[in-house]
Parts: sequence; structure tokens; C-alpha cells
Amino acid sequence: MSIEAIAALSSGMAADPISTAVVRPESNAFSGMLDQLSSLNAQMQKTEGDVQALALGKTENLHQVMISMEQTRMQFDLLLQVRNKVLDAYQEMMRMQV
Amino acid sequence: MDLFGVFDISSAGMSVEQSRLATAASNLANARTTKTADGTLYQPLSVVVRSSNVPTGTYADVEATMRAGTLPRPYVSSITEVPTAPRLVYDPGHPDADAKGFVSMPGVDTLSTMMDLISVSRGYEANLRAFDITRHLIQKTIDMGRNR
Repeated sequence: MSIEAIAALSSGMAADPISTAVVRPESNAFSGMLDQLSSLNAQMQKTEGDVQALALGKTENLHQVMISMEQTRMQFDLLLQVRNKVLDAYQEMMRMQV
Repeated sequence: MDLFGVFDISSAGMSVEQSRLATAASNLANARTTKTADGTLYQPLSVVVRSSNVPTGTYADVEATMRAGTLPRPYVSSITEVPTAPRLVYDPGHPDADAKGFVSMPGVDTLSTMMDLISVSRGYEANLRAFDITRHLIQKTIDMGRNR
């Protein structure tokens, strides 16, 4: 399970022509979101490793795997909601009359 | 500490209950063990649970500990043998019988071990419930952002 394809977009965003005109703070909301995305990706990979260890019988306790899975699921859900909101705002702006 | 940090606390609680369960199971399973590997009698085991730093002082102090995500988590500090008088059973034919024909059995109190098991079960369920409520609250909070 890899979501690196989205993270790769961030390199293209840096050469955004609008950002050269206005001085922006280094950590804007969008790059913060991308950071969150990569940390979520790391956690998903960790959970995948945990589940694999569980299947191989190398886990010390079941509850830690289940808690880790639930935590990852909810963090994914949270990010999905943020993504939906961003997309909503974008579409709302595209519908705007000029 | 956000709501996700509560998971770690519940997890620590479950780990402790798991150790208590393993100890109780070991005591029950060894109730008829006459000799351990080193030749001594099996002694009932007991779990010693300690907790990391317990926040004291004003409400602000406790809140600061909460924010730092260092709320006290229980952990098993040691599993100790409880010296118990052996239960003597008359069985002259037994290889471990003494000169008078008595065999020393571990002083495992089955009844109190069963009570321990019930308490483990309830304790684990309580931690599960805390986990469940945390999960429910996080889910509800995320649902706040769902479309109308």
C-alpha cells in the first residue's frame, strides 16, 4: 500500500509561478498536509509490517496490532476528510463567475 | 497529547492484564507440579504492577503532564514467587515422595486464582471499553467534517 504517487507531486508544486511573485511562509498549509501524508504513509507501512508479523506468529500481543490498525484507519479517514474539504473548496472556486 | 495518545494508555493496561492472565494460567497449570527444573518446588507467581510518573500538584501541573503525553502508564515491574507452604499429599508410590510417603504439591490456591482470572477478565474488558470510547469519539470528531 503506497501513496507515494501523491507525494511526488510536491516537487512539481515548488516551481509554482505564483509563489515567485508573493513571499510565502515556508510551511504553508499545503506542504504541512503533504508532511502529514508522508507520516501517514510511514504509519501504514509500519502497520503492514505488524500485520505480517502477526500472520507469521511473531507478535507478542494482539491488542497492539489491532490498536495500531485502528489508529492508522482513523488517521487515514481524517486525511480523507481534509482532502475532501480541499477538493470542495477547489470546485467551489472553479464554479465562480469571472 | 491528542486523543490518539489515550490508545497507548489503554494498550499498556491491556499488556498488564495479559501478564496477569499468563501468571494465573501458569499457576493453575502447575498446580500438580512436584519439581521444577532446578529441583525445587514450584512457587505460585504474582505480578507486581508499577506505574510511571504519577502527576501530582495543581491542576495545571496535571494538565501539563497530559499535554506532554506522559500520563502514567502501568507496567509489569517484576513477576515474583510468593513463598507458600506446600500442600502435602499422601502418595507413597510417587517418585518425589518423602520418607513418610508424602508428596509436596505447590500451594496454589485454585479458588483465589479463579478470582484473579475474573478480575483479569474484567480489567481487560475495562481497558477495551476505554479504547472503544476513545475510538468512537475520534470517529465522531472526524465525522464533523463529513459533507452536511
